Amino acid sequence: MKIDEVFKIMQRLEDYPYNEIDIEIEGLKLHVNKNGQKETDNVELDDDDVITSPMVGIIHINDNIQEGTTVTKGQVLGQIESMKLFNDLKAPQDGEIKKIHVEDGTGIQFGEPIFTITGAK
Amino acid sequence: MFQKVLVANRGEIAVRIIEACHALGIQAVAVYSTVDEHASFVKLADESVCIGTGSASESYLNREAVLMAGIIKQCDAVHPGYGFLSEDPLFAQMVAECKMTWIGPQSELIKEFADKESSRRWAEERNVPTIPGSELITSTENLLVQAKQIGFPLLIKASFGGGGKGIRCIESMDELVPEFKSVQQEATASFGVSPVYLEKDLSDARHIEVQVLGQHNVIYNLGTRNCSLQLHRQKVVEESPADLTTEQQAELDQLVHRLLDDTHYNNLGTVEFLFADNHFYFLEMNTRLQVEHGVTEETTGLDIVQMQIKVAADVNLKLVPITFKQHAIEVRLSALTPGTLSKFTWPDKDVRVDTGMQVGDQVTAYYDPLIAKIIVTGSSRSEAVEKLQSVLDNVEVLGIKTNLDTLKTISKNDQFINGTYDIDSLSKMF
Repeated sequence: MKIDEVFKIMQRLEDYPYNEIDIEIEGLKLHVNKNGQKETDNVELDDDDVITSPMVGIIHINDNIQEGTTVTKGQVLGQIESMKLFNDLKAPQDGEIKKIHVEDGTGIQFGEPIFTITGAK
Repeated sequence: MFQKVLVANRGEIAVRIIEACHALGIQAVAVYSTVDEHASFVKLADESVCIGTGSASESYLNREAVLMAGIIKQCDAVHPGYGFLSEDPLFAQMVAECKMTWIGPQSELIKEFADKESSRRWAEERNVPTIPGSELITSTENLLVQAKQIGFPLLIKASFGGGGKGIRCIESMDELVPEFKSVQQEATASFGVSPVYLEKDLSDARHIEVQVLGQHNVIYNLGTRNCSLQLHRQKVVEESPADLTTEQQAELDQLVHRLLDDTHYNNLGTVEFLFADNHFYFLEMNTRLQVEHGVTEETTGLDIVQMQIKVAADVNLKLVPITFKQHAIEVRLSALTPGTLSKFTWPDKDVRVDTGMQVGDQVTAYYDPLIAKIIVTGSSRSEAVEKLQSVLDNVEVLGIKTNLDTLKTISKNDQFINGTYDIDSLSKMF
């Protein structure tokens, strides 16, 4: 199971009226507690983080951001354009941009992965 | 004609609109919330865009998100379906500003009819009778004076109410003030604003509505529907045509024309009336596709959703005089509790089923609990009633608690069989 899929599951759970849930798929045991406690078992998560789109819009990636670029927490990586408004997309942690999943200037949907960023939170 | 239409809705009506687009050779783009990721309408669409989370305000009611989906997929028109943004004049205007065509009437007319108080004034100015009632109530003193004038029983209604919300029946003076306050609170919570007015509660009334379509400043009457069987002011059974004499039909037609002639109303709409003591009283005008449009399609042989799209694309419909060939009855199969559908089958003939659900789908608390619309037709009303009874006996739904038993009971009730029911019949039955 890929890390993206774990995030997808967790994102889906946001929508359901449970505070706590246990899931077991393909040998992965996931325990999610919405009150901020997230624990995992049986799987080694590395420190990669996937930044997904918080809205539908057009992605504009800053010129100085490429795969391999080192970024600091809070640094603006790009903007999502929605109805002529530009919404900043910031790095959630210090790290390196490992992968850019989308093409600059294209339409992206809600929840679509944009960057994979490495490094500790 | 359009190349690509954005379907700004979900569930069965999204399926219905996508199919109409495909029949016209148009591509359809679905928008969906994370909860609906695996829904039929998303699979059926040519392309789809996730626009937000389950809560409607984060997705289907989020104007910017819906519009951005249309922009990034290069859609040239937006079909709003019913509910959600379908009667939002601002959204209609924004669609146009984003260089897409709104599949619905002009935003000024949507605005005029979206507010019950202003649509009532509109009707009165055009000499269309409305139910005796008050102006907007601004104070408790004013409430007492107006209530005395109208007499009991009366209804307290929120001006922006709908779908059975923001409405209360009051039998006596004692209930008046507390119920007035609770309607105000409910309206503020649901619609953000709370203007409230009073209306006489008509007894033995029937809910009769007329399906209309406007094009090039001509209003076409596509026939009547009787939607009197309601529970908690939500329609449960609808039939077409309504049982009216030729004179009554002519009167109704005249009222509809008085209401809409020379307004350049362009697209589909429904004019709702209450019929009591041999008088028609204007209730409201819905400036959108109605849930129960299917019964009218069955009686006229027209495809109403395709017609909406054609009118928006300015394709001349050249409607010939409409003939009504048969009788159609629709029942709304609804979930009573959330759950996962494990089986849903119906007879393979004698019935039209409009649904957006398939086995494995979930009914969640987020959206309307409608599972399917079950529609039967007959050359006479009694034939349609018989078909309904036999079809319902052969519908099977498992996994979710539904109102199927209620529908069966209704279909075998004498008042229903004889067609003598009114808007209070169903609440007396259950």
